[in-house]
Amino acid sequence: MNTAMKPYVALGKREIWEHRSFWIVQFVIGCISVLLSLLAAGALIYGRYYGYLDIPGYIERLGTNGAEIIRSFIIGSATLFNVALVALVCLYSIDTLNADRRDRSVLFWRSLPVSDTATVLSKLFTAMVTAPAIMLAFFIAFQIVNGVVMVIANAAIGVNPFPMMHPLAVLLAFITLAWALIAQSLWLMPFYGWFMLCSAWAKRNAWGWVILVPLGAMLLEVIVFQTGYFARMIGRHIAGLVNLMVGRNGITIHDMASAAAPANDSHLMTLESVSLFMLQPEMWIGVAIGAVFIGGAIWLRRHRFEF
Amino acid sequence: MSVLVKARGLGKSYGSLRALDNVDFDIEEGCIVGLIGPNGAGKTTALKAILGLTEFEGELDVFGHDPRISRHRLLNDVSFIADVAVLPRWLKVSNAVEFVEAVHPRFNRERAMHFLERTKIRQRSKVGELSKGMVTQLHLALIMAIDAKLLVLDEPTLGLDILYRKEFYTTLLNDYFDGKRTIIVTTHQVEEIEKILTHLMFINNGRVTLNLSMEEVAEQYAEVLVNPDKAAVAQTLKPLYERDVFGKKLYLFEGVERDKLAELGELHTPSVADIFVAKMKGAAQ
Repeated sequence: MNTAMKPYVALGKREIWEHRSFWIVQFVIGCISVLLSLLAAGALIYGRYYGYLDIPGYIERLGTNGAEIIRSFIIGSATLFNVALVALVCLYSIDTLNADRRDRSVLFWRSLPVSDTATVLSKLFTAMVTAPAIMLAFFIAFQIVNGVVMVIANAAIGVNPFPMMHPLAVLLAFITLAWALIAQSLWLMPFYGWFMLCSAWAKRNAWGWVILVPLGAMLLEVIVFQTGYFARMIGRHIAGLVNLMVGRNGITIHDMASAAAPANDSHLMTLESVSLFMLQPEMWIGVAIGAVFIGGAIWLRRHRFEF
Repeated sequence: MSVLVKARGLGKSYGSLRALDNVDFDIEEGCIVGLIGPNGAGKTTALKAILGLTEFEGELDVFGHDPRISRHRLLNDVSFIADVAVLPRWLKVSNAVEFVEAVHPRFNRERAMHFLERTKIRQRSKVGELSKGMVTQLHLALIMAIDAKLLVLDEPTLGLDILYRKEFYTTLLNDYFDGKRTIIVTTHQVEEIEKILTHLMFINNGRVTLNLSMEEVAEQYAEVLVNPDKAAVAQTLKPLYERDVFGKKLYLFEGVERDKLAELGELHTPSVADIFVAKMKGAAQ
């Protein structure tokens, strides 16, 4: 390993040692997905031998639209892993610059020649890169297991599984997911930045600052200006994640509530929709705001000495 | 010997409290300095300033670095144990060694392993599973494997039982201190460290009230057990402190010639704790 990189790699590993939930939770969800696959395989075999399954119809459906079904299935089933990922990263970034001050282990970490900038950036890297990478790795590994289960199930009912495997569609789905995870991390950077700023600021309860400060700002706006731009902006940004998922851009939460868009369940993100999502100005304004928050967190980490 | 830490006009206030008040001192290479003072005297503030863990007024030079500006570079040459109980509970022993090895250019893995082999600590254990004494041993093993110029210990043995406290200082003296390294230590258990100190520094109310080598301490301070008939003579020599012991008077003198004192009675070199009490009581009077 490059010796110059060694401290940074160790900082990254340190976060994973402390936060084993990043992979344990993904592992548990993966096991659940395998359980569901086994149930589906069981249903397939049961249907075949008790005559419920219309084999020629089944083959035809998978034959004509197989690639799209597999792609939708993969992207759709990533949602469960992803919800867990976002929840874990939010909890992580609220706690990360606070926990070591609460248990005083900060006195040990700061006794080593590591700059505060490197420390805070390693935590941001964990939130935006390491945790999504772990999620993607577990997701792909478990999708392969699930694929094998379904291949065996199809073989068991006498259907040749190989024409239905669409390896290119599968690969493309994984690449799309990776690209979307990058977009998601950048999109959520202002939130992660805010959480880490509160985490570095709060003496004990970072949650209070995370929630009460924005809530106070919203109330103040309503009382002073009788407007609700700030609240709507936050809501719109959160709703942006749904847009990323379904491959629509620039649609507000208001539009969604009015159900103007026709329901189309194959309307899931593609490489192109994710790229367009990345090009929105809102994305990069958010990244800039996130960077300011992170700068603040570094400053606080350097200059707060309550112990 | 070269000067490692040089403080000039070092000051720090917390609100209206003056924690350090224009303090000057030098710490030379190869010393073991005991920094002694009552609670809130400014000891920890002085250490934090040296380590770059707090803002301060005045000048402070720690082997050429200003700790305010280059804290993390400074820490290549300075190790510190703020308190032994600060290793995080989730950290595995093997991971602790791996982490320090990766971030510290002067860490020697073999040395750390050598120290750990002498203990009952297993590589797979987490800090949370170790006893307090074992956590101390682990922390010490990590720190002693670092070839640092300066080691700062701030109440390192607080909350440990006497066996581990003894072991802590014995290990430090036998396996770490080599006459070139420098150690600054603060503690309330003065009697436990006084045999290992080369220099003594008292801090009270943010000021340095004593700063001497142990030889100078032995030269300048003397305790005499005086029979009541000579008490009046002793009083003329202006003792720093006096107390009654078994019907006799015990006087503690500062800077009085030993020949004169020998005429009064039996001479002793007072313990650091006695000098400390005398200086603090003297300051209060």
